[in-house]
Amino acid sequence: MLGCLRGSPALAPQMKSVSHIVWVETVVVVFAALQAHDLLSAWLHSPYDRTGSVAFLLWVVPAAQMLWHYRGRGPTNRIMILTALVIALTGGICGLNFLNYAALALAFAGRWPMRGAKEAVWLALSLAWMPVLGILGAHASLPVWVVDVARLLLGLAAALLGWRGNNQPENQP
Amino acid sequence: MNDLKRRWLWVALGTVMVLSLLWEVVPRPDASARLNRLPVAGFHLYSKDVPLNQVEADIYHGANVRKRIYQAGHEKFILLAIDGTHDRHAVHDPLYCFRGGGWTVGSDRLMPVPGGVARRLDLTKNGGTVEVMYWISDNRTRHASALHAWWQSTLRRLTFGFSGEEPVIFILQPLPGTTVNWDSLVSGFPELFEI
Repeated sequence: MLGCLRGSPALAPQMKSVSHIVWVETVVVVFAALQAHDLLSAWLHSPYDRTGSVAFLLWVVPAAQMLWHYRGRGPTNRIMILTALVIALTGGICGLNFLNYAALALAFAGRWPMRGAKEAVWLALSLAWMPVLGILGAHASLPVWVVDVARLLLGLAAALLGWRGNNQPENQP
Repeated sequence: MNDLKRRWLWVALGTVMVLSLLWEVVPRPDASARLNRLPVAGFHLYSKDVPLNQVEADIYHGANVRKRIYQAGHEKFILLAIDGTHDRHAVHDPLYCFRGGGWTVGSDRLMPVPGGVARRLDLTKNGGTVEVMYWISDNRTRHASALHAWWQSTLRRLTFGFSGEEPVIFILQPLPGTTVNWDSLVSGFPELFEI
């Protein structure tokens, strides 16, 4: 769908202003992903988190779409990136994985920002792939399949929200 | 973002990476010595180490774990003791694993043990019921709160271990097809509550 937008008049001026590859922001995303490596273990071994990887893939669709569209260039949100760094540092020092996961979500949002309230909602929907949703489900005595369905629905909502946001001219970064 | 701001972002990223690495490489005393104090044999006490199954090995890959079958008097049970110094996430609320494994939690109650409390859970699955007991100990007090252990462990990481000893979780369950009188175990096996 973004292929259709690539040559659109609304996007062309933005492309000119962001013609370099934004390495530091990209490295922050990679660093945050490394800090959040326990996600893999949770997705593989915890019954409550088993659909987290699929939810993550759904959630990350809008960011991947932006990556494909801008070819490694593009606008960034410095505040989000800095916040991701501070939270990743706190998570690393304290050994608190939920902070590492939040930092990863923020790093994605900082590297491939959307505009307006959609970004806040998309960020909140990162709960879809985080183990904290499984912990809440376990505390509420929910069966595993209910958490599975919730993850997939939230991930789908994030994908649709981001996809629509990316493809509406007024919301293009 | 202009070049100056981007340069500062590189500096911030480098600082965060160095500090994160530093916190990982600075050694913190673990609870190996305490786990080694778990009695192996004694008067009416027998034990045998058993290997972790594949799932346990995957979950506790970075942690210091003892899994042992005990016979203390007439009571036979499996003990799992987990020191999460090098993998703090290995020590988490057992309810999360039990419910994730398809067990339904029936009664859930605290029972006094030397130095604090332990938690007893009745678990049901496929028509079978098993009663397990667990507690978390920092060698001074015993409790059954994952949140409390989380806070203790965080403080230890922040202070490089000076805030106290690492919380170790002890999970006891009967051998398959048997039951354990946990009340008599507490009085008959006091060494368990000195670690």
